[in-house]
Amino acid sequence: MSASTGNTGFGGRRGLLIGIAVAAAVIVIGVLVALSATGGDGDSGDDGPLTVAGVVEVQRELQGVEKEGTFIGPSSAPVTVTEYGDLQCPFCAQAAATTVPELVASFVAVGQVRLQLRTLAFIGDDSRRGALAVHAAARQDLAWDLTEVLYRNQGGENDGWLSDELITKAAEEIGFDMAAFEEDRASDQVAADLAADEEAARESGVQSTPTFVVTGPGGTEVVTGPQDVREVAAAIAKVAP
Amino acid sequence: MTRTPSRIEAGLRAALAAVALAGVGVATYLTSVRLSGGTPACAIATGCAEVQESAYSGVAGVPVATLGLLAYVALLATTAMRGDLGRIGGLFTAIVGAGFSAWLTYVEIGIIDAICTWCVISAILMGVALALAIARVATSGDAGATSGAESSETIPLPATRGASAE
Repeated sequence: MSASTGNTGFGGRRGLLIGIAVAAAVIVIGVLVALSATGGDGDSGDDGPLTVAGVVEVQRELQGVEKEGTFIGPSSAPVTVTEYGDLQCPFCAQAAATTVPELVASFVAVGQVRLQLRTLAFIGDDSRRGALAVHAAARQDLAWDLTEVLYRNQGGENDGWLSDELITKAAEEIGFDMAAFEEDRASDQVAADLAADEEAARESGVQSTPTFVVTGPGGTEVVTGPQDVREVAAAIAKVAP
Repeated sequence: MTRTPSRIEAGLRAALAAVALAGVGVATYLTSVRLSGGTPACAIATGCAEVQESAYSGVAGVPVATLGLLAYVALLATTAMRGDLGRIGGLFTAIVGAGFSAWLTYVEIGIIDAICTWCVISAILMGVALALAIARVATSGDAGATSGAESSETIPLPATRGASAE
């Protein structure tokens, strides 16, 4: 008749059960952390030879469209649509694949809208690398080309997909003047351009990306995270002459 | 000297149930936000949206908020169970919940660099749940009679046999 009979305190069979429960819990935590640390939903790319997707598709999309700096479309267009984006933002990539091509085809190509790109870098250091590249590309009037191609190669946030290697390869395939591009990427002017976009976002009260600010004679409309081009089209209709 | 272990046990179970219910509320809110997709945009300001949109907001395709909801429901279920099954089951669930919450809090601070208030509240609730679950297991160790009765191992003392032969 000992005091500890196995079902009280931490000794005996009960102690063993508690020990097993604690050990099992630690194992479960380990598995969860391991799965989470690999990026959760994550598919981070493998280490095969780097390929750049979407170059031909983007060039076809933007073919014949007037390009100037961070703008596409004629300067005479009555409506300007400014897109605020971050290259690592998945919703921006979604918009790049759906909303932007339709805007280009239906509004920019017919001279009704001028699209402006304002690239931000709030998701991480990789975003800044990408944004500086886009601002450098603007100096060759290829900001939209590079942006749309990079969105088509987007990976997980801050998992390294937006690398110098990808940016360089994408720029080469698009047809950049690479010497000028590399010089511009490191320049103070390009850093100032990025700061100006960030300031513009603050002034416009942009809280998230993508945000489309639609400006025309009828005023200004703001569309956040459009999943359908019709939302932006409705805003264009409101401010258009 | 009149400690009533069954009362302590009942109090701990009630407190644990209250914490689990609060956790169910928080996790349900976060799950509904995540599953509804929330705003189809990436928030610039740091906070819940940034955390929920991050690559760490899911484990093998299951939203972390949903895992939290399952953990709180399991915790609540263990408070309805008497005996060691409920106590040890609750301890297991609370350790997993608190441990994974600690990891997620590290991810928020150290990796994503954004704090989601709801996630912090959930982590605190899990911490409290762990403390209560440990107390539930520990106090039942002192309460041999109570827990023994539940597992029907209390044997009537035979001492009266000799006396009654009088």
